[in-house]
Amino acid sequence: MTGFSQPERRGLQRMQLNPGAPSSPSFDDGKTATHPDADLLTAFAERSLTAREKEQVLGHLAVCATCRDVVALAGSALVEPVPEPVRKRAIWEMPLFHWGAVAATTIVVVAAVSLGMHERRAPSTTAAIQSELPPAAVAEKDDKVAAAPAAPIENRAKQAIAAKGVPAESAPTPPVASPETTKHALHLQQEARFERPSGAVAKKEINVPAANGVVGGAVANSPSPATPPAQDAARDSVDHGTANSMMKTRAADIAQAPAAAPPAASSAQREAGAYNVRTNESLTVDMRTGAVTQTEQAAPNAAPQGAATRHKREPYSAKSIDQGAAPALAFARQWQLSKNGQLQHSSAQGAWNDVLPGQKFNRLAIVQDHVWAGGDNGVLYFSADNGQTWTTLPVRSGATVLTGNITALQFTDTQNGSLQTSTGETWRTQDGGQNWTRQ
Amino acid sequence: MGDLIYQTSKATKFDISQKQFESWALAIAQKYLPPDVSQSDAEDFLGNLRLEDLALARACAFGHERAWEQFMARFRELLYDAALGIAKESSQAKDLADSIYADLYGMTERDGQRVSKLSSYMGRGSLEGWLRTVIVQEFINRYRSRKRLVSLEEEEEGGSQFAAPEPAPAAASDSRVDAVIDQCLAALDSESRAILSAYYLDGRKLAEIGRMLGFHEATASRKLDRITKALRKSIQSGLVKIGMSKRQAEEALEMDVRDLAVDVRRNLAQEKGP
Repeated sequence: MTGFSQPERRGLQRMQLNPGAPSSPSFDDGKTATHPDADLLTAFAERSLTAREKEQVLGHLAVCATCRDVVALAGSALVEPVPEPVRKRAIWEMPLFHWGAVAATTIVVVAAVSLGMHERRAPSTTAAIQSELPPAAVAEKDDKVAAAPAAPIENRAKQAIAAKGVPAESAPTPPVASPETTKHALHLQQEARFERPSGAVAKKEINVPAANGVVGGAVANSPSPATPPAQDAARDSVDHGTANSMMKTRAADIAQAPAAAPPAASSAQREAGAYNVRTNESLTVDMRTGAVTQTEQAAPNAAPQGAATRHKREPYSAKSIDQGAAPALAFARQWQLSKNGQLQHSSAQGAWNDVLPGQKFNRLAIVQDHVWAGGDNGVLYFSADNGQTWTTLPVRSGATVLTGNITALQFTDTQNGSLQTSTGETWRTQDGGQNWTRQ
Repeated sequence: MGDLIYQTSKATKFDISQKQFESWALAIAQKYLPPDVSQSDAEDFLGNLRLEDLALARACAFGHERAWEQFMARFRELLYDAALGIAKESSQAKDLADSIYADLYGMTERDGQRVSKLSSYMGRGSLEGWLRTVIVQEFINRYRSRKRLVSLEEEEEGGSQFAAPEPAPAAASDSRVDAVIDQCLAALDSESRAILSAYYLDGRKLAEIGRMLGFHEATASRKLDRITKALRKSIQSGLVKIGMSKRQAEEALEMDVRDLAVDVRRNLAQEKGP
């Protein structure tokens, strides 16, 4: 215990409630009002207290070793002690950050030129857009727990470039889009914060069925079976610089590329799961604002009036939308998660109505009229009729139970999906979520 | 609002009337909300309750068979797994879980009514999390009571009969220094004090502290460093204000060699404990 003097430590000890007295009251015997009850401690651990209550509990934890033990043990009461996910340091933590930034900028410029030349040679890049890796979660500056480890920038860039058909070696980092497309760049996926209520919540992502009912690019209920499944985007964590670069690249590509059939998904990329919302025209739905980017065409059930600010959109290209896009988008646009994780559905009149009030969710996945909503502590709700009825799906495999909060949720069709948790677990299902296996 | 709460809770499947459920919700709101709460805050509060879990728990407390079937299906293994995660030893875990089950089921009666622990679940957190907390509380209570009942044989084996006499206490601390330290600690926010207590008193690791308080280990490390430095600075400044020189203030906060020796001995003694 370095860095703290004895007088300071004695001060801390003086601050404590008397912990060792044999007559210390038990927790629920009604004899004491000093200890938070089990409900408050649970709500504290699950971050669902009000700010005032949280402050009160923290004030008590500062002086009560017993309650600190309770909170610590309750949080660690897992079947298998799950090691914290290995999280590589964010780029700005690395000592060579500045040198790296300079080098990366140089490489990005070179790669942009190379890619630009490549794109001009290969006009049908919609497939490349489809297969482009998603911008993974942007690591929070204050290092919230990440659900997936960050890969080196070079690997992520190489994957992104390879997905576009460019040899990875030729362009180690993603290119930079033009300034005008930057504004209209696609929504990047950001990891939901581990700590949900107290801070601003990052944008929540939703898997929107693609043109033919595909989530994240993989074909679900394709009207044309001959269409090969689109390439899923692999999920990863990126720093701001790379994420922005990828965002700009994608925006630039979308602006330029006409429609094309999506390429076959690589098993590795499908394995990683789609993260960005994708349709054939690289549509992304921002679940925080309800905005649907990259199209001007109004879906049959258009997003309600008064919805939060939408991103500006590129002019809609009729050639870039498959026949099945409109209905799939229609389902997607009916759902959103509010700022505090409330699931909401838009009515015909255009208002957003709370669904499953009292439940907080972190992630949403939609394939046609199948809706999955995942929240903290493994809570997973499912509807097969666009929200008319709901069931809870326990995520367990024998004696093994999902631990942690659901931080990512993807379904490629109505049967096959996967989810990731804040404790680094990955679970898969092949029957719509009725049964799961832990990877 | 009452209709919405009742519908969300799905209490009908446990034959709980709307009136009954609303009365429970009202009691919970009265317990946790201040008297002057606004209507919208009250509605938010009720909307954030785990209503389905609440209905299930209360139905189980009343002995509803279908509710118990659902409870067992959802939580039976979880209870044992959680107990194992806490107790780390299977027989102790089983004993712990069985004890909890008995409390939850309501093996005791009071005035002819079964008394189930589930009736004290308020729906503020998930039922699963609440069950874990209850298990931990029971485990801690058992461990504490067991510690007070150490047998003579165990004491002998532990060598306490032959333990060296406690060393002479360190020199009495300066009350002025203590007063300044107490003042500076009180000025810290609750989270900072909780971090300091968990780290310097409980000896918890940063990862544990992060998990407890909801942030990453690296964040815990940075916070701890920042808090410790700021506290030291404010204490030194406070000591200077009461008339100490800067040098005296620094010396007052330096670790006494005698204290260091005592601290090491105390730490070693703690490590020998169960």
